[in-house]
Amino acid sequence: MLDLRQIRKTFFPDTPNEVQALCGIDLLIPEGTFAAIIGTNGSGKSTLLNAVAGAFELDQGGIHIDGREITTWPEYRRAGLIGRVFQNPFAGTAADMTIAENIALAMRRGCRRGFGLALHRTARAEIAERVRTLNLGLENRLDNPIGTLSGGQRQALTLLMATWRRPRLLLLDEHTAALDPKSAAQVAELTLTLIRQEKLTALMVTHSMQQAVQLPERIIMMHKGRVVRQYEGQEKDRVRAPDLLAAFDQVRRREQLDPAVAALLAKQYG
Amino acid sequence: MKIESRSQGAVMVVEVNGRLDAAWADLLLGTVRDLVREGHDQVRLDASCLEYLSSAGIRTLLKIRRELEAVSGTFGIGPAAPFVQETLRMSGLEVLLLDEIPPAVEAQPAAGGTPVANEAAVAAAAGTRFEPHVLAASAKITVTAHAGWRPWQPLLDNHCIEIPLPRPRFGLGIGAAGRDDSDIRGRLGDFVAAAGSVAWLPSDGADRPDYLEQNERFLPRLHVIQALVGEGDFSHLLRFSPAAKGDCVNLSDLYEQVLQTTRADAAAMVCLVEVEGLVGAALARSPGWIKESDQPGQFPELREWLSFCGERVHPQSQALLVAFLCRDSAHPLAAHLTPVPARPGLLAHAHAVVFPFRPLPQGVVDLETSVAAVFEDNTPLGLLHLIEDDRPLVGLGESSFIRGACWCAPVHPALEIIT
Ligand SMILES: Nc1ncnc2c1ncn2[C@@H]1O[C@H](COP(=O)(O)OP(=O)(O)OP(=O)(O)O)[C@@H](O)[C@H]1O
Ligand SMILES: [Mg+2]
Repeated sequence: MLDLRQIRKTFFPDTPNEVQALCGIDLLIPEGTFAAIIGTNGSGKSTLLNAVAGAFELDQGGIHIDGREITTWPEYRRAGLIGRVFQNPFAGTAADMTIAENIALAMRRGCRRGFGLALHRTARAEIAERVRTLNLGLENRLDNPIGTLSGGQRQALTLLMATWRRPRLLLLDEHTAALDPKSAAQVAELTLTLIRQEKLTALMVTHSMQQAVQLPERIIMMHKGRVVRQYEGQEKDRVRAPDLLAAFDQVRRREQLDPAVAALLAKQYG
Repeated sequence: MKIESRSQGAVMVVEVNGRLDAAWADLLLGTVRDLVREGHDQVRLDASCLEYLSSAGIRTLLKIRRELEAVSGTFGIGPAAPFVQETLRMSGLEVLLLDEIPPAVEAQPAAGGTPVANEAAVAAAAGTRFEPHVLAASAKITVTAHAGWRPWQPLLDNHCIEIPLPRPRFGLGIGAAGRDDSDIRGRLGDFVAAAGSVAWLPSDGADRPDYLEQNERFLPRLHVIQALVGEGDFSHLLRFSPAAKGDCVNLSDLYEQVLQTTRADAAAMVCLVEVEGLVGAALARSPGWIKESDQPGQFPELREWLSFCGERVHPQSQALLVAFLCRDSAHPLAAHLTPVPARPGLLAHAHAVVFPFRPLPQGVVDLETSVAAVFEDNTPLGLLHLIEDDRPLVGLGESSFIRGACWCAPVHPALEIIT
């Protein structure tokens, strides 16, 4: 379970470049819930995920995972609870290291004592077994450098690594956006499978309304650092991509309603 | 695929060359709809050079035929390549095939209505031709005003009243459909009612209007907090169409024509129009939520309660519009209307519900049949309280229309007011 209370973050405060990136976000994501975050560019989606992962200090607010307050935890400590996958397929893995080594690194993440990169036979067998479930044939290429794989294959592996030790929370930031449509669809499907299998609590940022409608059970719409709308339950089941676009339109129109328009409307409504 | 059209007497022949499949079907539909908009309702398809016809293509041909029949036009396939004939026969759709191009059906003489021989009324207002027909010369509309709630007071239980809106009632206002007053409190929104159909825009975050239709023993009912409801026969039907391609008529010009045609100072109207552009607002949050401490009428709080279109919306769609208007400020109706900036002295209130485009038959048409047809295979796209945006320089102006049918009548001076 993720519980965010009144999260605020302003970048470059009191300067001409001031950006209010998060303006008091309250969010409760129950255990095992998969939620998508949608919003226009710069609406604060990545900042929200970064705040949860501990990339910077909050100006205000509290973050709780499974009832534990982690607001003051440093990023590396939160990594024991949180798995992350970013947009760039080259960000989550080390190109020169082999598939097996990259995975071994992920297996150690959050452990107090490492067992070294030298892989034991049983661990290797486990790795091969789980890589096989990706259906990409990569189990036969465990000793190849990961840099020789396609973006889609790397993103699939990154996803597998991020969920290896069943994180308490999985954060995905446009993790299919840089892939070709076919790979994007495969990674999206893998995402859903892993999340459902492990009953993960997950937040996925996406610009694809289709993904937002199809994959998760909740949709969170952000605009200018605020959560402007949430769809869950039957409302989520009912909503279609054009409805989401219409909702964005509504938000945009609301902004255009300036004092002059307000005066016009006030005259008409008495 | 190549689509070309040519006129052959009163018939428009559309020649298709190449493949008629899902990828091209919409283009053909669009082409024929454009012809219908231009007033051609006898359309033939020349399929002698067609190379391929898929089910999507056939579906579109059937759709075109349905749409043309709905406007008393005709559609069929004239010359057809042998495989086209074969395909259609096998699908049991030989009705689409015509042995020859038959002579055009004579335009229907206006049944029921008498054209008005009044030069002044027929005169076009800037580019639009108006064609008034008398339906029942002395008919008047009786209006009931439900004025329980006034903006922006907190809603009290006694502001709300449930009213039936069956034929031949029509109206506009703020309301919602639901079990009881408490059920609808959070969903009150703008509504339009006419010819047994009621469309309303729930203010609970819905992106589309909901609607109720009269059916056998089912009568649409709405809980309203503010409404103008008209009842009675319409005295006139005012048809209008562009004098030249690209012409359109502003709402205030239409108001003026209605007052001239009905020779009244106060009138009510129900229109089916092809939209050039709409300008308006809608409730975004239910008045049922207003608290004593709220100031919904003031900026910036107003943003929470009202949404404004922001641009001219719904071009090329069809709208069902209900309006009440008056140019006599002493008329009891005036208290329920607001000034029309483009026509000093004129007061009005108009709501419109919007549908995908669908052509309207020419001449004298029946209100109930026409409205039923609009609701029949379309769900409404939007609903607006029409507002003239007269802000200098940046204003969006008035709503305007390309063509349409406007049923109108004078309003009886004795208004029933329920508060
Ligand atoms: N580290 C930072 N330093 C300064 N400003 C930042 C930082 N991170 C984000 N911002 C600013 O905060 C705002 C929100 O950015 P964020 O990256 O969260 O948006 P986003 O919703 O993820 O957009 P996109 O869809 O483009 O990824 C932007 O104006 C951005 O420039
Ligand atoms: Mg981002």
